[in-house]
Amino acid sequence: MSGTVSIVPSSVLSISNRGGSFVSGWRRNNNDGSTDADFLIAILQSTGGIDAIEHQDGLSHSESIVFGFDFGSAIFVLDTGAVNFNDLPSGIIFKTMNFSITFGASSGAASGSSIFSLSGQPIITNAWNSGGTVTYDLMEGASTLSPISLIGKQFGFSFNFGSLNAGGTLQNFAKLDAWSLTGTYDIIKSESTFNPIIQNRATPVYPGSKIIINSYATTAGITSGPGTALDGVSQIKLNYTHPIKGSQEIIIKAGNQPDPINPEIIQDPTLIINGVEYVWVDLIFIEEEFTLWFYLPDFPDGFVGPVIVSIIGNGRQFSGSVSLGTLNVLFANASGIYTLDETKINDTVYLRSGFTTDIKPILFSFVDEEEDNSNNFYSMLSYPRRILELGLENIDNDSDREDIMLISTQRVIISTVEVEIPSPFVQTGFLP
Amino acid sequence: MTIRDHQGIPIDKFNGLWNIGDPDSVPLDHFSECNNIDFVGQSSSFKTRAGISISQNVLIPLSNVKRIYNYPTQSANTLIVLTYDNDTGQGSIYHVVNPTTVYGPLLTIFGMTDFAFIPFAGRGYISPFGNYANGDLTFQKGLSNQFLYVYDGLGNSARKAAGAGMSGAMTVANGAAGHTDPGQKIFGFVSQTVSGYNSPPTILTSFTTSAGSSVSFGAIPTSGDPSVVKRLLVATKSIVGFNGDLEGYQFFFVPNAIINDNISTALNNISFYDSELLEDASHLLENYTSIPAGAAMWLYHGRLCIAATSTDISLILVSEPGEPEAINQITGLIVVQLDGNPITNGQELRDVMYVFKRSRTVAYQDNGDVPSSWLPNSIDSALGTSVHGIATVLDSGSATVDFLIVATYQGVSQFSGRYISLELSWKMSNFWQKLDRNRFGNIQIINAPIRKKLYIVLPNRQAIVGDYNNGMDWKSIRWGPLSFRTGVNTIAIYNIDQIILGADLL
Repeated sequence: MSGTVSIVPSSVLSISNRGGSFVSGWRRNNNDGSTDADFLIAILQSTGGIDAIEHQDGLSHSESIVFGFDFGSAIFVLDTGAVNFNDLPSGIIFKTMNFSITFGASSGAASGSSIFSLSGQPIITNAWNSGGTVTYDLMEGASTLSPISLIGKQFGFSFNFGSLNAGGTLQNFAKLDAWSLTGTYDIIKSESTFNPIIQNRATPVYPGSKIIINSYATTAGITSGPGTALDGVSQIKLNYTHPIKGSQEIIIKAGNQPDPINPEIIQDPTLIINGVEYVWVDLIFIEEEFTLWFYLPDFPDGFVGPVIVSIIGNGRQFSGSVSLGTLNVLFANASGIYTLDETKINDTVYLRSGFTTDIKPILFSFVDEEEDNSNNFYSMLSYPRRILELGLENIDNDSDREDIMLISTQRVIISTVEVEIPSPFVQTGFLP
Repeated sequence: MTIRDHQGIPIDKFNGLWNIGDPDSVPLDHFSECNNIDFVGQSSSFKTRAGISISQNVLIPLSNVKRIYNYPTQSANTLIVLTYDNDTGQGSIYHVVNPTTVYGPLLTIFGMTDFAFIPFAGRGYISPFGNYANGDLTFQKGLSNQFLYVYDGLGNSARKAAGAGMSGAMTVANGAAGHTDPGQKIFGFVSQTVSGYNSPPTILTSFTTSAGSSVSFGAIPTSGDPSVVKRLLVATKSIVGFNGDLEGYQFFFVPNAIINDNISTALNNISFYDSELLEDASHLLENYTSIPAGAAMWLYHGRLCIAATSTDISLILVSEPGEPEAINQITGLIVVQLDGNPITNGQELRDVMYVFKRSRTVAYQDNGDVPSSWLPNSIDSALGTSVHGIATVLDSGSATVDFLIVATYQGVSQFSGRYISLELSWKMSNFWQKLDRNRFGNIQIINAPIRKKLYIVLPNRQAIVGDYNNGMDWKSIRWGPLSFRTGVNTIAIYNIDQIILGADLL
């Protein structure tokens, strides 16, 4: 099933600028006190509407802004109507998505030119008193785009108005309006014969553990050979329920490649949509044709418990989300001080897990220390010698028991474990 | 080798990560992705990075390590470490002398998630700070109602630096036959701590001396501060027309009038002429008795500089040369341009003091006069750095070789008085600019010039190494991300080239 999709302009609640407020100098309806909210109203309105946002100082202006969406409202308009994020059809993926905005420049002078550019697009040069609409293909570099990637706190755009020649009795100005996001979508069902399996899924794991996924084909429930290839996995999702924070989703993106939507915009590391917190993590995961492995990331707040693992396809071998089942994540405190050791080919890390109880005998304070005039080892001790002499095996003696108290102290078991160095992953820039 | 009509392209050079622009633009001799590789010398060979091993050999090693600094003491190269207890919210500082010896906790403060540290004459100066929010922006400044602390390096608890003078009253009388210039004088005592700090003159007492008599002092109070080891007598010259203001006259240290302990209560038979009063002590009256904690500390011309206190994020407190605890509340202050952002760092380079905010760099030069008279010179109005964003070199703690390595929002840059273009991290600009700017306070850089590598701990709790065996410029440097089973939070270098990593709990 496929169709067209657009973003409801009114669902954009806010804009922000990573470098601070950008509003300086921008005016709406000739109002020098315009705010970021005024800027937002102006760029969302239709072309030719009143109260366009303008800059009138005749100087170059570059801005980089990020949009914030109202996740409680209907953000997407599909062929079937407007829906909010949670009501999107299962398996929906965007196949095309274009961002467009209208710009204009004007001057009281008769000569000069304006230059408007959107990041990633060719520079457009226009004569005075003209403008245009520029459209940006957000799919550049990606074959599919997930809804959350679009509306997460990472979507925005950068633009630059080049130097406008000053002159004339009227000030020169540049303006922006008629922002829109439109595209097409598909609804993809997961491959029913695709049967990837987590190796040793029943074994509890720790953050940092290596998780191996194999892809097998099955016939009548019996493994019959390699299954669907795994080298088209674009993301790995980890879903769990934190006892306090509620539903959480960690999305492991494939490596450190620039975001195809807006490489200049810094991605917000977390996003909460309708009570579910999404966390993006940049980690390498290794893809061979029928095997994939990754290293479990740290979970915020030291979460311990069941985690549902899913893999997301990029449309090459499969599309949509495939659940691989549940892993049981344990907590192991590996924090501490480490040193790089050139002689080691693996990592030695702390494993603080579990508790043990130590039994210690101590002397009651009312017991006098015995005077010992003999010139032996015990006479040189600074602490009551009877403890050393007695030892635990002698405490059964009634008379000794009267003077000794046993206390138990709990301590964390600290050991070390050898782990492999997370595998180097090499991909050359040349694709034969 | 040819396959059909295709000529094979040998790839015999590997020069690290390339992450800028489109993935299809990655040159043949670079990686579009890589992880945990290490480069071999000046060749293009690479291998898996070195493994890590535990650094401590004690029954209960430190955990949840938030910050590590190299701490050169008078006898050894050691580490000063901050740990954090997530349950109690308390940060504790330890002194790791060697793998089997740990002193501490030296200092435990609620909310101390980070600290600034400067070693000076074998002692360590500690300034606790934390993260604060201003809207969406996270920044660092000194903890509220906290102060600068000094640690003696011997395992004793750190104590508040500076200090107030003694309190109480003393008796003054003519002593045995001696000499003074007759006239009304004001006497007082300055207490001196083991770290050499002189308190403001207190126990000010007026007395009229006689020409043929010395002066004797009794019932001299002792200081309640156990770190006080000396008490020094101060006096004014003879006053004509005393107006009753005990602090309104210039005080001088009296020669040969020192009590070398904090126990004695008498000092007898002190003789001196007014002409012998040469060393001024009045400036001590204007010094901070409690120095507020800041987020940044550095040394400039032997002066300790503290910036970004809890109440003044654009203020630098500058001490007297050689006296890190002597900061004048009037002449020792520098206000950096007020732009709503706190000072994050400072460093001396070629006799100039460079002060950084997150997106600004300003220079000051010592003109021989008091710090408040030093004029600013704007270096860059767009680039700055974070609290740990200047690379420390070897284990000296100093950040300079002939230039600084500075982590800016733009990338990792060389700074020689201006930011050198292109930045060293140009080849991985996308990688760098994807880092969370609100967590740039977590970036910490070390420069290991013997290995010819830069090690950088990143906000995402991973690290990256920049190998400059082939040259320290944007083209020759080779970058390679590093990841570990546990997230790393801090890095230090000690014993010349031993790399120490600290891992915390998320």
